[in-house]
Amino acid sequence: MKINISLDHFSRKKSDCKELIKIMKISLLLLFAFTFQLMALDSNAQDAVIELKNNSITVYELINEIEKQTDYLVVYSNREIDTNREINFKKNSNKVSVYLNEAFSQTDIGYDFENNYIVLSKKINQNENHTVSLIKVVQQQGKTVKGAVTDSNGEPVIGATIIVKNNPSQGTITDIDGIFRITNLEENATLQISYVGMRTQEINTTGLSVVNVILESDTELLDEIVVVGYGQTKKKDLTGAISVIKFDDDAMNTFSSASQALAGKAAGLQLMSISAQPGGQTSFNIRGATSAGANNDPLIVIDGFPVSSSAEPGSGNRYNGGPKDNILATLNPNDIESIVILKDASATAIYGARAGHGVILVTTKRGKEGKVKIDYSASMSTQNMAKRVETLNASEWMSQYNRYHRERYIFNNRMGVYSNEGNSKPVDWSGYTGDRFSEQEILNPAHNTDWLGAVTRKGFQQQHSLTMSGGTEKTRYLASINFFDQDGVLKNNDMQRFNSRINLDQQISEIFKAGLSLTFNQNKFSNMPLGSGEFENAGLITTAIQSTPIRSIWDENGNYSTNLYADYLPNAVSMLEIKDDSKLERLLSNLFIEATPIEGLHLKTTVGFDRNYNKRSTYLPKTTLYGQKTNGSAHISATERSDYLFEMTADYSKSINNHNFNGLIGYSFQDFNVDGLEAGNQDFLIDGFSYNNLGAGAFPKPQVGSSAGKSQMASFFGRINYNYNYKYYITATLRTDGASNLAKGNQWGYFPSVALAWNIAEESFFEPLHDKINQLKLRTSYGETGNSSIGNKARDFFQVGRNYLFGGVESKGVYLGQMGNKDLTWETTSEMNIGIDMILFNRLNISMEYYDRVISDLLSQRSLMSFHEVNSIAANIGKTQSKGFELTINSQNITKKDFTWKTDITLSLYRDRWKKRDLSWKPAVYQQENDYIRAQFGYLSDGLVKPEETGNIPHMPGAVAGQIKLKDIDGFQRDASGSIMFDSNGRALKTGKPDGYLDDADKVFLGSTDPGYLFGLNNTFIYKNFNLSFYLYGVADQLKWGDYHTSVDPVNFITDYGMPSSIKDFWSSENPNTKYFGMFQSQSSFGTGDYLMRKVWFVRMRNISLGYTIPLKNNKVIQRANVYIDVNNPFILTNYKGLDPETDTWAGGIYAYPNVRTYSLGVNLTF
Amino acid sequence: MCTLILSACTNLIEEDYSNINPDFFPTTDNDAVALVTACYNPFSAGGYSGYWQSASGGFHVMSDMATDILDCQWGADPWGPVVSFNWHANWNAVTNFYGRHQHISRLTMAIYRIENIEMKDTNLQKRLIAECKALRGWLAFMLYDLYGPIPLATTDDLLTPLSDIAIPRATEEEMKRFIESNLNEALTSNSLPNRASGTEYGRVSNALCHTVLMKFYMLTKQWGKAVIEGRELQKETYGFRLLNNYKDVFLLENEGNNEIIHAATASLATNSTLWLAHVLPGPYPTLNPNIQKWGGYRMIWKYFHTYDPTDKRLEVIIGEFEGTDGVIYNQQNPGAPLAKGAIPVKVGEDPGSTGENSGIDWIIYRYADVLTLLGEAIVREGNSVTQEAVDLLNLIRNRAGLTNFTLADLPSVDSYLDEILKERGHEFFCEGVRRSDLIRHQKYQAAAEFKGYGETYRPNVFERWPLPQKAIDEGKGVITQNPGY
Repeated sequence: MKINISLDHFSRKKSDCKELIKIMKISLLLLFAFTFQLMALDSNAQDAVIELKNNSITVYELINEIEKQTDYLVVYSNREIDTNREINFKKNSNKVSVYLNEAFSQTDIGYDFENNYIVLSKKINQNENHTVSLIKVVQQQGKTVKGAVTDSNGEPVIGATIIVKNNPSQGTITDIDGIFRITNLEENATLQISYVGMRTQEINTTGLSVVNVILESDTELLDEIVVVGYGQTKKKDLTGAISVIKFDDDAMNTFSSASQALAGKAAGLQLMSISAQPGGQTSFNIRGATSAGANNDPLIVIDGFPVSSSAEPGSGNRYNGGPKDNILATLNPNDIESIVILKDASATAIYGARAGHGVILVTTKRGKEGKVKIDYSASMSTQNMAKRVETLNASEWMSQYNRYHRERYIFNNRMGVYSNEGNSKPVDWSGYTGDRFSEQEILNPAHNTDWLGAVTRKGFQQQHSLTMSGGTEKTRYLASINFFDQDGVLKNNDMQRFNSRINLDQQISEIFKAGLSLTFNQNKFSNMPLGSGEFENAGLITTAIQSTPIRSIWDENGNYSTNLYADYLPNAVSMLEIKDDSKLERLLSNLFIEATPIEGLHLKTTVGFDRNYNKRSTYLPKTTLYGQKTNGSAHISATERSDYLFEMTADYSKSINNHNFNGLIGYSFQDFNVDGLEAGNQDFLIDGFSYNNLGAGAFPKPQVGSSAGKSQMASFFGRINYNYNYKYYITATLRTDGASNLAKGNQWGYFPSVALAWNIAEESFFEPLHDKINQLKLRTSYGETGNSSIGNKARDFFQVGRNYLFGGVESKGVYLGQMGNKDLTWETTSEMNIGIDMILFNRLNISMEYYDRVISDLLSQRSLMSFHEVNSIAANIGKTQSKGFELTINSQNITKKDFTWKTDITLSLYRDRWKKRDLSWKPAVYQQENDYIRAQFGYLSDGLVKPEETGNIPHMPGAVAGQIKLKDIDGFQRDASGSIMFDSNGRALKTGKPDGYLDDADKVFLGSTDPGYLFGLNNTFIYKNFNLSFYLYGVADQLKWGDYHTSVDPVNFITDYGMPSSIKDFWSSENPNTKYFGMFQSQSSFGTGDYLMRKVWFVRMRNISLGYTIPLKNNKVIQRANVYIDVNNPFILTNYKGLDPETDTWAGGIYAYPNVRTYSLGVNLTF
Repeated sequence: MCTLILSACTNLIEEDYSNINPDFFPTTDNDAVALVTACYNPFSAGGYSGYWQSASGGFHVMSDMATDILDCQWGADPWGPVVSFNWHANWNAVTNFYGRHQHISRLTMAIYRIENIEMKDTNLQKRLIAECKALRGWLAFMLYDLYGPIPLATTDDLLTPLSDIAIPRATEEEMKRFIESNLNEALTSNSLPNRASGTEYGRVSNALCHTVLMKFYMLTKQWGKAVIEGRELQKETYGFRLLNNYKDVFLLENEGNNEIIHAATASLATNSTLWLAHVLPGPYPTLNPNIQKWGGYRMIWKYFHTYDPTDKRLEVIIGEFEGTDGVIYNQQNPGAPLAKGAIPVKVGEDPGSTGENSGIDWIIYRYADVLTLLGEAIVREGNSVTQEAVDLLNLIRNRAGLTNFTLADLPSVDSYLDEILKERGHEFFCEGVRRSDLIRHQKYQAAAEFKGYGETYRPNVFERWPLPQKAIDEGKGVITQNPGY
């Protein structure tokens, strides 16, 4: 029975899938090329009997009959065997061996039985009937190794080639169950297992008799080919520091943007989630942020087009919609094939001018030859707030209100702990007007409104993606559409993305081919007021938290209630009616024509166009506070950004003996154009127009504005790669860039780099270790890249503005807006990199990098003496330095037939420091020449002021109990007149002794806000049809200053603000044993010093995904079906007490958009 | 073909269409006017940038906070340490006005640029330069009042911004000469109107120059010169009068009235002011319900009670009101609206306000100020109380509905000075004169004690505000801090 099932299985594949036959044939060609010796004659097999319906049949029919009626598979080469030859057999029923003898006895073809195969091939010796005669040549003792070869889905790989590495003539192929058996092996033989479209594996068989192999599928192979600037290379041939992030088809659906799935995935790439809102921004840094004033963003290149970010236009009102993810959010995450991070100067220098902070190369998927393949994937998700701000409920609020006011009475009258005599001056309550809330009211609050609950909801998210790809030998295509829809956890805060793509490749002739990448993307956001604004500018979340729980949402007339004491704070629920819609559109098209006139030479011309159209329309309706005041106010602003790219490259490769060359030269030109337009009006008759009828507003001075600008950049570049026998590598690059924003004469910068690599594992002396250490490559590089992204700062300009009213009429002013600096020149990044790549035991892939990056001629604003007309002038100021270490480990822990486990680990750290300051640097006394770039300075704290210390700390005049006590540790040296003394270098002098004053002399370096360590961990398990993966990342040793618990001033009780629960724990005369400072901390004019400073760490479980591939044998429609459940951000381990150590950042650590936990259900289907 | 493209594309173009290229500016008469307009801009009460802004950067707000009059109900930053006489060189609220000395340089460069334009209308040129000098002298006076001498940059210093040379603070004499000479040159140019009116309303005038000079002479104790300036302003050519009702002075419909010597002009669209938004509490009933009410600044109760209950000026200082919520708020039931004191409403409503903005001009100097200073100067100069001085004092007492003093009521110089100080305090609350008055009368420490902050008050130190520590660092020893900081 088993045989029959197997046969069915095989037959189906054979008949349904021409591709498989083709692969079989290719495998066989490989087989015969090595002239295998084949073994294991099975006498029983030869005796199997088959029946023929007809005596006269062709060789092809005979083979078919044998395969049909026995469990043999007949393998042969079309080239050797004429299958159309007709044979007349004597009998209708006979042994297989007899038929074969009759069929081939008069030819040069012999046959062998091996396992389940019958191999037909040319006889080595005309006189021998069997090819197996070769067996005799290698009749020797040896062990036998058996095993199974499967693909990553656990399916057997049929026809995989197994050869013995140092004896390529010895080998076999796998059978229809993926089983192979190879005998006569030397004890320490290494097997090479290969299959077309899969990655070749080597396995040392020392001590093994069973070897199970999982071959990585087709897409995994791309790991071997790495996209680099203007080309691609094999990973093993890399000389620069590069990280590759491959995109798994199945996991991307639950992320709104690819950038959300990148944190911790590549060592040296730091991602910061700025805001947790739908489409919220993730910012990138590669190897730190060492530019002081110019942009620290890496260059993002999508399919060869260096793209620029285009900002969302402003709202035109007091509110901020929050920062959006920009470039990567304009891609369908499912379209992305790989993201490559170019880190060191050798890798980035080819992008010279814009590569000073690394390059992110995004490559999208393209069609492959073969029949049409349709992938559909969909996911549905629900989202909850991962953590919410804890606020006082109505009862708590009332008792805390009473508590604050009692405390305030004592404080205002300087009694008790707040008197200069400590506790000795008793509190006289006679002047106290009494508590506002009685015990009864506190016990039975009339209202207990959960304002935050009223403006939040359960989030919902869905994504659908349809991809069609395929092609012929000449034309390959991929077309995809994607729809993403997210309803954020804040009500009315939504995002939608529509994305469509066509990637086309056409072979025009032998010489010419062309390709097109065309993508259109539209991201639509329904924004809500967000941000760190306070009071009249407070966003929705802040307003909700600052709304009193004792107030109901609606007043007795059914109108939105307001807080009369803080009537600048709108009713939080009313803010949901604010309309703020933005639409960010990108059309990115890129066409290339490539010619290969002679072998090895590629000439390529690329023309690209990137158009961004961003529009934002807002309306504050009359039902909201600020809409009511202005009788409705509408605003529309739009920005357009058009970038044009023209590139030509010539690339030539040649190998002579063991000398392998590749040379590239190129020219690139980019033209950037921006313009903007805005209009606004107020005083509308009805809200119904929303922002759609600006002309209907009656405001006397409607808002209008426009702006435009243009800049250009041109570059020439060249690169030479050479290696000798894949052992010694050298890569040299030179690029020269011109940027229009610099003054003529300084426009051009030259950026060279060189890299050397030594593949030690290829050396003969390394041979003995080769089975343990499969690869060992040392790399080093040095190079320079540039940065000119400081804008148009070379010229002076006058600006219109600073108007004044004369006689009631506005006159326009004109003033010097910018002092230009014609000497402005390129900021140059010089970087040395040392790297090691290792592959151990065939399963452990380790890369380590150390780099030392110096940025000189830093582009920044140099502050001028404060008496000047303008405060600063753009200049090249000083040097910074970043040193860092990066470790990447990819491990295939277990690779069994039914179970595999893979782990990826990344670890990186960097230290960004100043190296040299400009002569114009005007340091504060606590600053040092080589400070961390994001150094923090401040006073040292010494606990809280004790009651007996009130008014008695000489260096903190007016300090009262409960305030943070700061240390007086030093003082300025002063001359007879009391003036601070300076040394000859212009540094203020200190005495080293406390002087009774808290001033800058007492401030010390407290640390850097840069993270100390960044790490990521990715695990994938596959068990039969199940796959489970989880992915976490984290940061350690990063300075943070408090959180929402401490960013609150109890004085706001006066105006009936809602408060976080932490207020209960604040120090007061009744609550002296607490870590929280007192009710009157804000009265101190010296701040909190380092009291709230914490070294924060976190480990975020970013994603857990469990998938199941439904077995679909015999299904003619669906080739593959996979379902999964997925949780994003299930938990975070951290010592940070706020909402979220990452996404709290943008809102200034106060009331940030709550991070979400997402539960998803998804399906991936392939047709 | 390729070569053609390449050469074309190495010539890189950069354009910024939104700004003005200095190759073509300033060259015309209109350009000169526009340069001067921009110089006027910070001499406004507009938004969060003008010198008399209602927010924490405003001259009158911060200087009155540092007296016995004002407090603020909001979080202590930045008002607390100013209110409680507890500031230092790192307290931005008192140091940031120092940054305005940059505007003196802007005026210097405006003069330089205008002098280098071949203007068609040379009278206009002369006048624009005079306006710049008047503004420069005036700003220098304000800075001197708060900080003492400042660095005074010359055109040469300003033309070489990258030389990075620190300029020491001027000496007392240099500073005084600078203030006096700028104002006098503006006056002697004979190009300014005696009093700005009509389409010139808002521009500097001879009257403004005389007023600033008078205040400068009071500050520097040159009583005789102050008397001369005061008498000058009494001349009929200026036409200044006191209005009959105190509160009328500050109403929208009385903009440009005869009591106003100079006002920071405002409209809802340009340089609008935010005073009422800063002082009115949420439940306070306004005719225009759209006026924003943040409920910040308060006249402390203790100072409020120094007024005679019949004082008409209390019409615009609200110690009790019925809120829109029906609650009577007063000192006994202050609630949130009156937690720290009475509301110094002072100015009228703008019916067009749609939020914090008001189009009512902010009055900077008015005739009552000059008259009372004149009385004080006469007494100090002659070291005796004269009938004229008593009459000058009675002018504003009369208007406030208070009884007249006779010479007999004020037998000594000190008694006159005490009364004039008190009366000016009551008259000019929130107009930025109290700090300077208290210091001149040597009552600054007493004011701190009155307010309950005598312990943190530092005699001989707090009369001048500190320069920001950054300015000291920048000077690298060349710029000295005010003593005691």
